[in-house]
Amino acid sequence: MDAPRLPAGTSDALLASRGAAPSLARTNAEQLLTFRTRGRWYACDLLWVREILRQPALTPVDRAPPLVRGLIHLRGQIVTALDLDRRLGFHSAVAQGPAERCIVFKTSPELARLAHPPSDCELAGNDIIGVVVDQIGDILAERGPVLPPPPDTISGLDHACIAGVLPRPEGLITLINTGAFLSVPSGSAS
Amino acid sequence: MSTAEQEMLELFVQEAREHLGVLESDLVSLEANPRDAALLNRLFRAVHSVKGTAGFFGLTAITELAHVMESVMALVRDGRLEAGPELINLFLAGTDKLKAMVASPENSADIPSLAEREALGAMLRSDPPARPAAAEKDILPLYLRSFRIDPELVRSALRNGHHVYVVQLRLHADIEAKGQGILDYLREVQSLGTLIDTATDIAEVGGLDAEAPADVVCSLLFATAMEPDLLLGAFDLPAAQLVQAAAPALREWLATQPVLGPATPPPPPSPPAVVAPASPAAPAAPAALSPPEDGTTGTAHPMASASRTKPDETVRISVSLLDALMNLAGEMVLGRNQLLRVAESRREGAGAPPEHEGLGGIIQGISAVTSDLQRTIMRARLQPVGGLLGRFHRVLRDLGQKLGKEIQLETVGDDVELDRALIEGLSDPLTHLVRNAADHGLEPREERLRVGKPPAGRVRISAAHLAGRVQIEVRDDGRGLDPVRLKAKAVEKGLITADQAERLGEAEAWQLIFAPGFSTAAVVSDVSGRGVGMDVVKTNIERLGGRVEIESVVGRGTAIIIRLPLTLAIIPALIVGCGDRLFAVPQLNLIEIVRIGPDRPLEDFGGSRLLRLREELLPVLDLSALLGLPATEDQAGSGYVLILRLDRRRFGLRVDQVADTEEIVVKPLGRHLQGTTLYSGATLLGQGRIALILDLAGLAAGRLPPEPASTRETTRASLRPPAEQVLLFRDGTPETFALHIANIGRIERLSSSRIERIGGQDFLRQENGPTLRLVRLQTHLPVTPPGPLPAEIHVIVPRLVDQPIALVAEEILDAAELPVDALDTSTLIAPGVLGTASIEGALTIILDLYGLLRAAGLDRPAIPGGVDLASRRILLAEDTLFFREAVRRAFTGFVGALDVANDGEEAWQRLQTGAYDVLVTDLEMPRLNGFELVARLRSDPRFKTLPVIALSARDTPEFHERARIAGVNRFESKFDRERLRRALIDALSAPTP
Repeated sequence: MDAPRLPAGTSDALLASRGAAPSLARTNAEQLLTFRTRGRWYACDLLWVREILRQPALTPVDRAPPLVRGLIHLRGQIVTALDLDRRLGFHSAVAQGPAERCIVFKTSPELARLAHPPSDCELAGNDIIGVVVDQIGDILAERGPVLPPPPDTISGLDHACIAGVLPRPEGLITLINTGAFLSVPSGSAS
Repeated sequence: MSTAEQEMLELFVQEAREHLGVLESDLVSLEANPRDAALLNRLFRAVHSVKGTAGFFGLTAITELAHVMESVMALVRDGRLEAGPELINLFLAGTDKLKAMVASPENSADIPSLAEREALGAMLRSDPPARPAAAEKDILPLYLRSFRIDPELVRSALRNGHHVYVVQLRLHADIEAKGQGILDYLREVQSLGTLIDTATDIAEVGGLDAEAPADVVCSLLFATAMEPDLLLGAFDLPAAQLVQAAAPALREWLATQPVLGPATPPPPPSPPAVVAPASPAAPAAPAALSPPEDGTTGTAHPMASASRTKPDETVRISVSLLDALMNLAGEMVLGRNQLLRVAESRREGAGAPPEHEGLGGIIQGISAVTSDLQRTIMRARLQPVGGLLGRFHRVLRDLGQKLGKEIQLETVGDDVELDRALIEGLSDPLTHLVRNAADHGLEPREERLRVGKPPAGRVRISAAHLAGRVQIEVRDDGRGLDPVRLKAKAVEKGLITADQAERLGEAEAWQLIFAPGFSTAAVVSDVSGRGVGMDVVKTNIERLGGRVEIESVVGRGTAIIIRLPLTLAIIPALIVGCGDRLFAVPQLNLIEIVRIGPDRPLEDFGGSRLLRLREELLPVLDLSALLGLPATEDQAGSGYVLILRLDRRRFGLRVDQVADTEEIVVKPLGRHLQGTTLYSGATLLGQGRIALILDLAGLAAGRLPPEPASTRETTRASLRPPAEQVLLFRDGTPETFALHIANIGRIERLSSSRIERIGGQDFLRQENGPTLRLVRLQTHLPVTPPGPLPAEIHVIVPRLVDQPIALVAEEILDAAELPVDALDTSTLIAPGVLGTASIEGALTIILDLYGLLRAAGLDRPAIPGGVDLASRRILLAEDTLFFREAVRRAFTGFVGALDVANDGEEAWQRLQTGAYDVLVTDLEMPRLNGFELVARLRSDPRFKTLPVIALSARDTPEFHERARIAGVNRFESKFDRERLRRALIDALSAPTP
């Protein structure tokens, strides 16, 4: 799939501010953060995003479940950084490049403090989770039409994590169900 | 609700919870001792406190329920009602309801408690109508009758010339409207004098749930030296609200009250106090006036917290604040570590500008303060474990009823203090273990009788500090774990194959109970055993940084032993490197580090690596192989091997580099990594790098050869009392010495330049304390002469020794267990040497501290004053070889004869035939323990007056008390020879009746 032509760098303003523009997040209108990894575009609800790290130093965890990319030191706390594709269950032959960006998500106490916390904010848990991506794209002000997620043909795919697909003129964007995405997939804990 | 009110309510909740906790455990004890006056008083006060404070907040539901409970308890206390199991059940049910209400006071009114109140109310109504007022009540002026007056407080007030007042407080108008909090106000009141009692009459104001409640009036009975006008000023009250109690009337009343001293036994049924037949429908009756019957609780005040410390010595602090402090201290440790590193690199660079010259000293100072700070905060987080253990009386009581088993619970070590996070984390696993012990471990009554066991099953929960760790044990005397049955079950469940089962040893078979999906109960009960549980217990304990061990003997019982670190938050660790990764290894598990190289390679032995270390072959695991890292060239011939201890096993772990030791702040791994077995957490190092903390149990699991048979034998044997702990050290010579932990006061590490030499003797001056004379083992023992002292040495300051001395130890090796019967007293015979033993594979010289002092000319023998000891015969009952030997030596030449029995049973046999003047006995022994032995002696007319000295390492009030009750004349702690000798002289010189 070709990468949609989202102007790179537009959302780098986001990088400058920690906490992902809370003033925007508090409005009722949903905002979606788009990002790219292994050539595919994704989007997630900006409300769940705590901050974005540039080129984070990843400490690998040997013998960890494959969905864990490593650990990141974030101001005295330790973030578990996930591999997006592995978490979703995509069998990607492409090895992910060096960690360019890490989207760090809010914990459930942080979400609960918001004026309108998401209903499934419990799923964010108490430990800090991030996901390693290649590039951060635009912030979308609205979803537009949403297609249902692809059928069960892709084996191993964790369907709970995918809310749908946004058919954009630039290409398809997979919409992540952030709560489910952050929870531990069944059977991976061992 | 305002923030201040919210905070007050939180305080109430906290306090009420404590009271309810006490209530619960005391109720269970009450069942065993239904006439225990002190217990009844405490129960009464606990309920009364909850009722009183709840009244302040207008929590009617709580007040009403507590009120009925209080009224019924008063009947019990006054001997008008029997505290049978049914009543206790009612009380417990009431307590449960109160707990639920207290847990969310705002919603307490919505929690139905009618059934409990009705049931308790029925008990009240079944009581014969109150008798006419007892005489002493009439003596009191009417305005004092609503109080529960502690005569001791009044007596001491009058003795000190204080006035006693009744102060009427309108809670709203006098306190809240003035912007004060009730609790603060009461605290202020208590700073002005002694608060004897408070009474809130809710009925008088038309009930709390009236739509526009009149102000709640609370009466304080208060003793103070202040004159009335001064007091009015201090309280800011109108004169009408203060009444001074007439001293003559009080004296008259006091004359009817018994004078209580600590030694007086509780007076038999005290004059029944007056209890108005109160019921929730008509709560108009004033609280009964009744003096406490027992001096021990006499001064406790309902408003005071359960703690016995003086109020001004303790401060309540919220747990979150403490946690915040802890976190800050943790961050500070990180910063300190960074600072040390910077300072280090500057010094190495040698480019430090002259103005930074004092920097090293300052950093050292800050470093020391940081460590102290951290330790102190850690101490503040400690709580006695008794609160947790006490809960199980209730658990087992309920369980026993449900299972139809009779269960006795013994808790040991209630005073042991643990980090509160540990206590919290232990709650669920312990509950599970205790339930398991009762349900699966203990046999049904008939089965117990059939195999000759007492009908009541015993469960014992003990807590102890052992060698820098906390050990918690749940022991039962039930049927034990049968390896054959366990294996069969595991095969049946498909957890292992029959082949695997064949190869499992006993200890490994026990471990099967921790496998997910394993349940040994033939019938799944609702008590325990749905096949979930033991694996969760294990995971939870491991999450706390602990280990679970099993000891079991078929037919005799099972012990689940939990070993935990003292605290979770910060541990000393060794930082090691493997490739470009850094890892932390807990120091606790580390014995030593061996550098390997061409001169000391790892041996290849049929595919596994071995290290030859002091004539012992240790299996060595390779960290990079375990982690799946690409192999570096020549792994067998370079790097380091960490010699690690895991439970009773030792093994090596090869790493590439060894960096440093650091105090690391343990951070738990995120939930996605919970399943990994190799790591127990992560930490941030000084440079901001992350190091994973290695979980040694996980690393070694299934990768080490099975335990050698000899170790397994020790495991089997260890349902006996635990082995003796010794400290292993060296003093610059190849010999390893061991000194019994009981002999050690403290260990200090210091620079050998501090040692001063005067007249051929070495001395160490101390800032606070006497100058210590240093004893070097090599000058007094037949060992290899050492070289000069290194720059840094350790000194071991013994305890229970009259002289200020210290032993020099160049190197402290480890704390180890002295196998119970491993002492060899014939190979090396020398003054100061108790014997030798093979400890952790090395021949070790066990020191005889007193003998050593004698050899060094430092022993002052006690002078037996006028007692002829040479003709006296002593019997010593002691099960550990170490103490047998130590006591024997202490008395050789001191008394005529000393005979030794290995346990209580043997002592009893010996007493049948031999004539002894004194029995010195250990308390914890197999077969017949010391308590049982003494009790048996005292019930036999021949031995009624035989002087008995108990000798125990467990120097706790509980043990003293148990020993006293059993009939022990004197209690001595293990092992102070001088005290023991004096005790012996006293016992022998006492006139025989």
